[in-house]
Amino acid sequence: MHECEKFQNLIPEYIDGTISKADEVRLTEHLEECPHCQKELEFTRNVMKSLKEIPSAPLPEQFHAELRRKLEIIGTPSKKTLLHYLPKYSFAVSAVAAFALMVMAYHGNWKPAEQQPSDVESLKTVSPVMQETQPDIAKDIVNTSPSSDHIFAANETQTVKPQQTSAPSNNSGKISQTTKPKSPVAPSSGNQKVASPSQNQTPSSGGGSGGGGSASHVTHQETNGATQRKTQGVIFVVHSTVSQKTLDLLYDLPTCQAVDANYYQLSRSYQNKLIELLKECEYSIHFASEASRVDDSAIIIELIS
Amino acid sequence: MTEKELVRQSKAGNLDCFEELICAHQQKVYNIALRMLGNEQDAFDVSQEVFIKVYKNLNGFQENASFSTWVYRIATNTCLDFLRKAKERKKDISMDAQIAFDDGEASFQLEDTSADIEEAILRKERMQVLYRAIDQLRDEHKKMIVLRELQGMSYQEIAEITGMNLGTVKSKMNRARLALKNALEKHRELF
Repeated sequence: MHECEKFQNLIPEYIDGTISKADEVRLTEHLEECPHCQKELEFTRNVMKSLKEIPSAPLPEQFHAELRRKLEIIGTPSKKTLLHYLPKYSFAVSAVAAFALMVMAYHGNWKPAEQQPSDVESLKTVSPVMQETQPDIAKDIVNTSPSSDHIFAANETQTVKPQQTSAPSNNSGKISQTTKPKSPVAPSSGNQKVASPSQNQTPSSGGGSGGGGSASHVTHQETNGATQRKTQGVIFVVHSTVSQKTLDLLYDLPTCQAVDANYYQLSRSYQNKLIELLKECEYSIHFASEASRVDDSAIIIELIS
Repeated sequence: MTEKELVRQSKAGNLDCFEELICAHQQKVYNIALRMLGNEQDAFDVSQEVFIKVYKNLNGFQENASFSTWVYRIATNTCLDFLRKAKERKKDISMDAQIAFDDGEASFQLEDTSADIEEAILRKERMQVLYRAIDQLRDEHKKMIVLRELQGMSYQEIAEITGMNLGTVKSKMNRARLALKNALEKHRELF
């Protein structure tokens, strides 16, 4: 049956005519003696045939008129390219967002838990420009609860998701099972995210072990000290102008996970891979400066096209 | 007027020329959006957005490049972007999909008056199941199936549109087809 599965995986290529000659010979030989795979071939062939029968839908009646109306409002195409349509203060706004994240991470890592509420108060001051042009991020920052449970919201996911893997992040070469982000998701809270003491002994799990919204978890942070709260990995902020292609490449990086909307993190050991990959893209990497290295294992990168 | 001339005129703000330029691509873009997004309203909005982006950014278009590839690249990226944002908003777009497709399907059926009624019903059911299966695919798989199987684009065209190399396109296409086949497994009797 396992052998059949291998052959069945070749069937779409076979029908499409893109199969290699060697595979084609092996498959046809197998098909001659396997009725089960013959049925599978028939089924796949019918599926692909049905796909081609899907009718092309006509354009809605008002499509042209509506488009014309919108185009007339625009007038003449801009002399500038898409990249120039970035908000005027996008860089400044991004820098503020990255800095805010960095400050949150820093405080999350090194301040005792009982001092955190007052620290968060300072983060509530978001520049008016940011509130105007990136309300979501601004809202996220403003809405950061003064409760220590929420201060580490961003870090929490960083910690928990790698724990779903079988290997700690300092053993980078072994990480392979990390869940890839399909879309940016806000970190959720829940007791299931509380790390076990043994897991927290690893540097990877120490990062962002704060938060989680459970009393037992908060206690755990306080008793495990600052090193347990180290932010681990590379955090990168993706702007809306970053193309799908680049995002796909980023998603494919080992250990890459969504932390929050537009925020992703990656095991530090894959930082060089990230840099190497971005060299091939049309995006420059803006390390927020050496100061952004909030500790030995965290760095914030912004992708700005 | 040649395509290059239409592009030049459009860059100067001639909307009639722009309409002529995009005329051949409008239905295809709308259908890509329709099959990727799963409902007519979103497909309408997104395909309008695509052509507005095309118009606004005409000056960034290199005239020696393929206009159609550029348009379809913007179309697929805009669709993927829409799907990503929709997921962020946790908006359930799939529930409307079948209702939306009913009209298109019905008009398709009307042309097929000579067909046996039973076969027509079966065919309609098969199409509904296919739409649902496509809708359930991962965005990346959806893109592959729509471009290749529904729009009939070549691997080379898809590679140019998506910016992937040919080998990657082929392997992703194979994975997308297998995913679709798996999604249709429980409706095997219809095929």
